[in-house]
Amino acid sequence: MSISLASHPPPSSLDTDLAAALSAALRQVNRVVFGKAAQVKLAFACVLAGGHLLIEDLPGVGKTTLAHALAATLGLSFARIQFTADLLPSDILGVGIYERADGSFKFHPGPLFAQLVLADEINRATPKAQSALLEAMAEHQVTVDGATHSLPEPFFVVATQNPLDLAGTFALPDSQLDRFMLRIGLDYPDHEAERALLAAEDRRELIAQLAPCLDGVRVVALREATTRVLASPALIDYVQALLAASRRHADIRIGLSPRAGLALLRAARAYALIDGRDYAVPEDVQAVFAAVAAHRLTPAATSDITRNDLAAQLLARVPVR
Amino acid sequence: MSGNPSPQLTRRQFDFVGAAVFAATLAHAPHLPFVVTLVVDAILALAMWRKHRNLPALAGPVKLALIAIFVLSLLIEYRNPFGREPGSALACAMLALKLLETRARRDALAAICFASFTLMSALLFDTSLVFTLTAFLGAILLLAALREIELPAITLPMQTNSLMATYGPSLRLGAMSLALAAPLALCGFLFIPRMQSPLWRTPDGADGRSGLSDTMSPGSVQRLLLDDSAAFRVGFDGALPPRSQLYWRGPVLTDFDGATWRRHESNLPANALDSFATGDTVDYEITLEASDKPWLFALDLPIQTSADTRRDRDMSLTRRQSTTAPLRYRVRSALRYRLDANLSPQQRETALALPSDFNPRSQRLGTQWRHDLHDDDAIVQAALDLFHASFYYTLSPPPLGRDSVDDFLFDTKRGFCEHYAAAFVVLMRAAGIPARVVTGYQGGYFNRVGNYLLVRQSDAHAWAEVWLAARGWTRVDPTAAVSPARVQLGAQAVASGERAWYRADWLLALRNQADLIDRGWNNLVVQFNTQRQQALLGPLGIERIDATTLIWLLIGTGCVLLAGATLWTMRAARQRALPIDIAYDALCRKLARIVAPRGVNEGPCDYAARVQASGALGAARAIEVRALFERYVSLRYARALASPAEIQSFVRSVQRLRFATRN
Repeated sequence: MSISLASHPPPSSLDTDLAAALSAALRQVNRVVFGKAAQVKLAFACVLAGGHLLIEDLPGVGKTTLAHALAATLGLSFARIQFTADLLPSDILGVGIYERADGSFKFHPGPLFAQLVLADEINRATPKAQSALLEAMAEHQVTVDGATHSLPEPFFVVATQNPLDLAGTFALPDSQLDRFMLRIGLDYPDHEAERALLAAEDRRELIAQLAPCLDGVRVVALREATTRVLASPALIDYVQALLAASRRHADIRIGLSPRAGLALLRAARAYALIDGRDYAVPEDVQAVFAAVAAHRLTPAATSDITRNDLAAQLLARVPVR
Repeated sequence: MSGNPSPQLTRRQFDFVGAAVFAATLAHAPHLPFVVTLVVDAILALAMWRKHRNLPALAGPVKLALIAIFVLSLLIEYRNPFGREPGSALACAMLALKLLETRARRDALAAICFASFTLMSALLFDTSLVFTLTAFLGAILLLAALREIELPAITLPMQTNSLMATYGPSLRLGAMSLALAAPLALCGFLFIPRMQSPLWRTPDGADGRSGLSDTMSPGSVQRLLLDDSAAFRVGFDGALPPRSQLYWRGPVLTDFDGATWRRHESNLPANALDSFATGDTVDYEITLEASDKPWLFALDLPIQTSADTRRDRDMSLTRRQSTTAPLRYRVRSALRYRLDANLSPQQRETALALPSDFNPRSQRLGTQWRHDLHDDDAIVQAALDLFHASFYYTLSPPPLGRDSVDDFLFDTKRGFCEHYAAAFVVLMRAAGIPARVVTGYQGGYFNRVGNYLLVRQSDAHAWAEVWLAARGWTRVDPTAAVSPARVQLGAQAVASGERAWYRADWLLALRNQADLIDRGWNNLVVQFNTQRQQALLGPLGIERIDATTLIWLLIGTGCVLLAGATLWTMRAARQRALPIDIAYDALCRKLARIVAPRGVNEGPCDYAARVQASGALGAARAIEVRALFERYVSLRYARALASPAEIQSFVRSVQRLRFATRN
């Protein structure tokens, strides 16, 4: 975990007001989701980097709560799609309906047309429905009946999936996993956090009372500020060394792609911005590495090592200074 | 091999190991019975097939049965389980069987290790240059296989079908490893103490020390010609006689039974009156290496020797005992002489005797010459012309049959001194000219610094003497007629046209060149023995060197080489490092002594926080160090390009940072 060296003034690329709003938003989400500061920070980094977030963990550890809290705090329009086995692409994207008045088809947008979309239990839908969502995520637009409809800006998808719930699930293929910039797990809360959670009031009510700290315009501004965070040549060297190591590792069949490298850099920049810096340091890369890289690594067939362990091994092996 | 934690081999890795093992067994193919090679290859093919079909490992009893069958069949084939051939056959078979059970990385490493040994042992059979180079190719394959196992190539499921693109990088790396090992190998070659005699030659024939023997049969001199150890050294009182006169007379062989030439048993002591010098004499001292034989050598023709040497009627010198330690003796020789102006009937008879049931064609040719030419000189010349016209010199002649001289003269036409001398003498005797074979040495290497002539075993030679009425015994060297320098051999197409292409000029020249290269390889590498090792250090002023000194030299040179390589690598690494990195490393080293070393993957912010949290620095120092880290992070990560002045300032700050040693 990175520790800021000095109390940095807000980065020159970020006005004081925006910086204050960002840290207020972080604090607010952490008030709702107990004991998950690291994951919350990664989720914010994902928002700022303009990627989409995949939360993978057991039911009931707060995946949906995190998504709701994010939506309420960021002040984005929110839609939730519960993925089921009979979900059709049109249930997500919307349909053209015949209008008797003027004899034409009118497009009725689906739930996807929101700024923050929670795709709950994404691996329970068929690949057809999954890929409708994932294509929209990549393109930021939807094509129905030959007409293209742009999705709102900012557009941010939080998908959740239960890794253990194997019966009746369709696992996302590696190429689809790649669409998510970050994948995080939540895990059980620790003792203290769980105690606080049990003692405190109901999460849903708490979320309903939340006042937004940011809004769509400000999120877009933060995203722009993220792109201006400096990644120095030395930092890019480090990212390249990590990519190269993933391709040399004996237990990895397919190493990280250049796209993974780009995602790593963008996430690291966003992380640096959240820490109040206008330049990224290796610690930023290390903080986001597992979330960016683990789901993109394909272990060798002969190896039974997990993806997360592989990511940790890579971090441990590649020297930095 | 179940439950083995060692990772399983991929098919590609297995292919590499299989190829390496195949190469190692292939090196043994030339000297193993065809059946053995066939069975070994069949097992290899079976192992490959099983791997590609992903079949499970063979059951233990099956493997044991295979081993038993193999050992039994080898026992039947060779009868004797010891020795080079059965040993190498067993090694090849076990290697192939090893591949059959190779599943995991550990097995593959064992297989490669054993394959290296097997490949090396093939050099016990053949030390020629070509074979050694071939063995190098096998070693490259082995190293490439090792590389594949240690660092598996990234194989993306792409269409990299080109053979070179797929296997090239590993092979290149194997070749590079071999090349990198060369200096160390050379160092070991030069300085590892040598055995007095080559290790692996002894079981071949229990001949102890080598040297000329008192018999000559096809092939007996051949072994000597490849032996570069010294026979004797000569110090001349005056100038060195011309090279063409340097015929060192040894045993004279008169009796011929069709296969072997022997000394004539009832030799009388030399009658000094019958031989006399007709020109200048030379005086010299010979230091003979231990030979375990009783005879001595002297320049043609010794007329005066030390008292304890005996001069035979045929002018060869002998002692009563064998020479078991280096022996020094003085001789006076006449370079121009007349030997045995008159021949006794008994002498004449022995010098003309030929076994009647051997070599009929040669005998017919001799008789025909006598009939056609009459004149002795003309007959000698006819024989020399015959050799000169269509024979050539080689150290690896084809084998000869029962009528060895006939086979040589009319069929193979290839050979070296002993063939020419023997054939010449047989022809002369058939033509009625008394003749005999003289063995000894010819030439020598003059050491200008030591002012002595070194005669090596490889200078061994055989020539002929014919008795001519006016001149007595006259030396004729038929080998010189064939190959004055061996290279400028003019080979005319044989009249019969038989295998004319084989004797084409260019091919002959090529083969002569190849022979010379092989001889050079023999001289430089194969025959590098104790004496040569000593001689190598002579110019450095080290006269005698013992094994201990050699080992120290070996260790010393090895250390120097390794240190050089290490320094070079470090320098290369340092040249790549930037000043700011060097300064940061220095900062971390200083802190490592006070606080804790930085983890290899620990970023500067994390390490700075850890240093601060440790509290090992005083408050003032903590601020100074914190400022240094901030400057470093700022220089390295907060700007795209830091100015050299800023970097220099940081470097100086780090240099100024001093900690009192922890007490």
